[in-house]
Amino acid sequence: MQTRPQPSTAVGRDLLGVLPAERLSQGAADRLIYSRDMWPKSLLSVRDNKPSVHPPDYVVWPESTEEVSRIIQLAGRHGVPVVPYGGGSGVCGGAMATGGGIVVDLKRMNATLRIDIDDHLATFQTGINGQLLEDQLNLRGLTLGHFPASIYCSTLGGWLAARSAGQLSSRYGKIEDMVHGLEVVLGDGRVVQCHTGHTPDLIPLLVGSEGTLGVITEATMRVHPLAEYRLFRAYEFPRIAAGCEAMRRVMQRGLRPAVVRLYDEMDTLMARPSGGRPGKKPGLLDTITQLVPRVGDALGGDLKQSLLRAALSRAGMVNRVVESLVPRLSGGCLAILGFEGEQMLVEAEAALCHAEYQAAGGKDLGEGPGMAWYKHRYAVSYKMSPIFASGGFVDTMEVACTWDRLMDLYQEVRKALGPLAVVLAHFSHAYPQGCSIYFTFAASAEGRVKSDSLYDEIWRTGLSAVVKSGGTISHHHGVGQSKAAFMQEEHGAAMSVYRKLKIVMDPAGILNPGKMGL
Amino acid sequence: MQQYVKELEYCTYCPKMCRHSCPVSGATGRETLTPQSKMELMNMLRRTAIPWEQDYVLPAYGCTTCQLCKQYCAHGNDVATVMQVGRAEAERRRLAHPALVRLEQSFRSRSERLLAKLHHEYSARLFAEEAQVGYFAGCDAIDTSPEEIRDALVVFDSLDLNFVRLMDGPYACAGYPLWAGGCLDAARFVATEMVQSLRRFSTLVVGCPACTWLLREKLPAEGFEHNTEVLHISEFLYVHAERLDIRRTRPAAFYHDPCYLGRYLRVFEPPRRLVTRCVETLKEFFYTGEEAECCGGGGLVPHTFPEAALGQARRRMAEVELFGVDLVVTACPTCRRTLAAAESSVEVMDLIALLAWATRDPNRPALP
Amino acid sequence: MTDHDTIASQLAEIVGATHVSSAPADVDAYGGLEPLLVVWPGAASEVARVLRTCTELGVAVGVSACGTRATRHWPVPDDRPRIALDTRRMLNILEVDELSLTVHSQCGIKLVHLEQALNRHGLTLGAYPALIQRHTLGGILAAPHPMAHSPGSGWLTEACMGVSVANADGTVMHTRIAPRKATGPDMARLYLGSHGSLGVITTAVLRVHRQPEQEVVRSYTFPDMAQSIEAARGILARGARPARLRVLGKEQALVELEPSGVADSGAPVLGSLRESPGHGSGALLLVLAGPAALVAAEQRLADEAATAAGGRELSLAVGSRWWAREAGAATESLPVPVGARVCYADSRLMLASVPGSVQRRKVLVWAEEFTLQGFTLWTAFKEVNNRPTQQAALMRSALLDAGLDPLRPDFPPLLDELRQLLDPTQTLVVMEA
Repeated sequence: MQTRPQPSTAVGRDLLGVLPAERLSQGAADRLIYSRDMWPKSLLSVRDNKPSVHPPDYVVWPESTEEVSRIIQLAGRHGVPVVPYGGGSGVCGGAMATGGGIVVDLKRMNATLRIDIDDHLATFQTGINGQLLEDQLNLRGLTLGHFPASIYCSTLGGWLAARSAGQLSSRYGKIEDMVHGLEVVLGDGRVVQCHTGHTPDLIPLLVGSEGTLGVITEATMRVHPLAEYRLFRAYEFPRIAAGCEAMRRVMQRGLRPAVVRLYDEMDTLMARPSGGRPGKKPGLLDTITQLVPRVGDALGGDLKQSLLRAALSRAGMVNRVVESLVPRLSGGCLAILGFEGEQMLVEAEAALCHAEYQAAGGKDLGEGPGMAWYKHRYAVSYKMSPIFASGGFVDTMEVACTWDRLMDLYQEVRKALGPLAVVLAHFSHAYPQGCSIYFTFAASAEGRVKSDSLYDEIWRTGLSAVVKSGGTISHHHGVGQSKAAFMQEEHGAAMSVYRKLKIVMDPAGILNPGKMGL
Repeated sequence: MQQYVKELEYCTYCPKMCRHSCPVSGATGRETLTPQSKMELMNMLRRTAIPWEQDYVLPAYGCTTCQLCKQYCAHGNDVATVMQVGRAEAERRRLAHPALVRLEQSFRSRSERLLAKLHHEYSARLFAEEAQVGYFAGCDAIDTSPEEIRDALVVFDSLDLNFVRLMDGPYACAGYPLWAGGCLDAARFVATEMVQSLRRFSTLVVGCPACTWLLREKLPAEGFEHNTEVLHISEFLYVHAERLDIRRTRPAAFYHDPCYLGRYLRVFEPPRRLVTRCVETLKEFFYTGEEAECCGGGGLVPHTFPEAALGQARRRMAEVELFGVDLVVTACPTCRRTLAAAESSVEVMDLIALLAWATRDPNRPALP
Repeated sequence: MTDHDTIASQLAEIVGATHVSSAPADVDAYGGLEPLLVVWPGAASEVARVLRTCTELGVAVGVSACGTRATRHWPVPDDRPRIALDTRRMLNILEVDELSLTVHSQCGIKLVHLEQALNRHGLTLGAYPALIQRHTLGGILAAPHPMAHSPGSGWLTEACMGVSVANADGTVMHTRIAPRKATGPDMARLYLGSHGSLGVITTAVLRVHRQPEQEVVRSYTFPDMAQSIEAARGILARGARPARLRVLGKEQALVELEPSGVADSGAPVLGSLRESPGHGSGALLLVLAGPAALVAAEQRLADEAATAAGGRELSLAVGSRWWAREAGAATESLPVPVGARVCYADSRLMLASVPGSVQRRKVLVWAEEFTLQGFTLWTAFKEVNNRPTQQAALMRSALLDAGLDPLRPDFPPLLDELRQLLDPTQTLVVMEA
């Protein structure tokens, strides 16, 4: 519920000239809620009873591209920052109004404008919720093929701004592979239509720019027929390198499984899907989370939290203990393959992948683990809350590189993070040229200051290892604030090109300042 | 609120996994009205990180209590209940939503008006004191679709269930708005009186799902126990479905699950069976059954966030329009009223009206 | 204005005296540009230094790899001295990574030579039409070729994973190589398709493929071309990823499938093609490549899709003969084709109207570069009476009359502003044929 804004400032008065009062807020609750996205570091402030570190001055809800353009123009006249906001699910602090200003929430621009079944194209306003976009397509027998873990809580605009990836990217590609056209409002209010026929194509410059070069208001996406058939297989590899080799071989034979995932020993142990083999123990994390509540409920909720916190604050020791137990406890590395499409093609590809995986040393685990993974594939995001509530923190670092550097990247980052946090990793988003690694790390420290400091140290150390191994600092989460310090190392001299793009597209420098290392 | 610390804390740190399902944030596009944000604000109030001021409290009223978010929560967090607890706290601190400041008074005066209307429209013979089976239509039925009460009686009559008698008080409503609005003292007072007057019925047939839930589950859980069997009208008629003398049908209709009948009471099949008797093709919404989206009418949202209620009703109706079907049937007078307010080209009917239409026999004598 | 000798001597210091020439034989190869001399740098660093020197001296630079008689360039020629920067010496392949399936090469190399080098490692760029192979890597990245597409491999520019660029001010940049990233704008993309107006692409990393385990060629005829397009769309919609997919109108089918005019005995159909009235009938050529079991499945799928669209299979010999000729066709096809992108929803209408607008002439029509979104419709005159440019103009207006937009470089908004920042002195001159 917004407070009727007092036109006490020139900005407020000008905004009321663009939008009716119901779509403009200076209210305390709105400014608190819109002060952050899903950057885990922000949760450390929230836990410290400071939920609103960077409140914007205004929140606005435009309903048309024209309104967006006028808002940006007036912000430029006043020199006030503009921060575009979709689902606020970004994990890099990219949607935070670090310099105050106007948060522009695109979610009232959520229309499905056109779905063309003949040409497999669909145009949407970018404020549309991801799952609702997919629903609109499914109703017509189509799919975008984009299933990020955040699909329930993110928007098309956010996907484009961050270069997101979905769990079936090995078949359908990442979001940047799906864009056919964009409408964007630049930092001076100009509305520009871009399409892939342009030469050079501006779309790849805008996609991934995280609101720093323009606000994307409409997008035309390439869609696919909804798959008629789906199949899962799972395998167990004794060692991670063998699993990676199997992934590489299938991707390089021209096969396109939809899902290609490989969990390292630690991740397999911790979070084996509970639909696994009969007679096999549940994953360690499942065991802990089932055991601890029973013990904790008996002894009080505080003890449960203390147990988790104690484990996380001795992360290095936990890593070492688990690693030494791994040969005795674990079932090695879990690999999952998923296929979808026409049945005869799916079966042909699955058989070929099966032969490769077995040749690489994979033990066949049947359909169960893959189906269980698919059923609970969004479940991991629910695990954040218990960890933060217990006093620890958890975050993820997703990187990528070509196959030749993959094992090196994996070992270097684990070595760097091991002493500081419990580290799990899985490999997914496989391509013929390489693969992405998704590290999950959890740790705990006493109090706000130490938590912040440990958090920063983990990121600094981790990203340094990434850069040293020749990987890219982000595969699909984006940069925002959390990786901004490493943009110069990531891009080298190309960073000056980004700065020039910024000068052309946002001469007043008002679009999402303080992000991306610009 | 101490009872709900785990929910409040978990929602605070969650990446909003349920937010796509929330009718209020979905219809308005407002982050502040997502279940996560409503819970975070409540949690910050609980922790005194923010002061108890109206601006921080008002989002708690932006909840239809549909419990669809709970459906998508791996932790089973019940945001609806916490919001009502928050509203009770706000009420205690005199920070209630401006539209609800006179909630108790308006509840009473509305109830009086509606009971008077009921007596005016229906003969005293339909209110026999000794009846074992009572029919309690619910306030929205009396207010906006009183003809459906007659429809219900006609349908009972056609099934030779003419022993059902109208329940006429002590209130036209079992008290849902008072619970939803956080006026707990008034809610408990009404509950005591309602439960008293239930004593004369062995079975009460209720037209409104929220009242059904209140009388069947909520009040007993709050200590207001009784021995009356409380059935939603669809449950009551379900066993007689095959005996309905259907004389005409509609080609197709969508069935919209009311939140309090579906998710709260787990009644999905009986209304569908009854609708199926009256239409050739029963269509299901994309999100249906346990996952059915809210019409936008619950939780007093039509009073506190009217544009959200209307927006959500429009969103729900848009799917029916997409499929070119001309009828939506629901089993709740509030859903009927809320969806009708979307002013779609699609007709909205309550199940009872549909049954009455499908079985109408001009040769049968009219009711008294 | 700097005198020509100063320019020549400074450039000679960078590339070596033997790689600078003002001889008429060399300069004339750049007729349209009228440069005072030509330089042949051997490395990216030399390119950068040449550009910096020219920027400092106020000299304009036209970049090419093999000479051009292009007469139009932008910016509009002024009275600055001009040089031609010829990249033909930059043909080194810097690395072939067989593990990651990438190649890093200098951009002056012709694609035919790059492909041959890759073949020696058992690798390939992809199943792109042979006719693009006469272009250089740098040329085809800077000025994308409308035929550089394979349904299985995508557009050739999409195969580019990163570039090294020399800017007009002499700075050099390399873009980060990773299979996919989310680290802001993809800066490499600014240069692909920029026609050299924003910087000179000196080296590029491309993704490559293993040579296919098996290759199968299928061909079908259809009662009309629209049905063949429907079959093509069906093949892609069902999930096949053919290496090549080409649809031919009747006249073009006769040209491509029976160039000798002799009927293929034992196989029906080309006869029926010849006999069918009007421009109607069509043919579809399909190359499937990959592991045998997958190819077999795609083959079954293609047969089904073709049959469903009213097609009949031609004998295997027709397809293999076509494919064998195709592999050797490293020259641009004559006569000059003019094309337009068509979406499927419009295709029936377009196919009816395009030949209709030039009824009295024999028009060759074919379609390729199929995606789920559409295809390119190509047109050309059968007889080469007029000069190619006149023919092309006639076909362009025929396409326009049919409501199609003929392919031409479609520059985005903001390009001029980007040039102003990246090349403020307008050192880089773009030459257009």
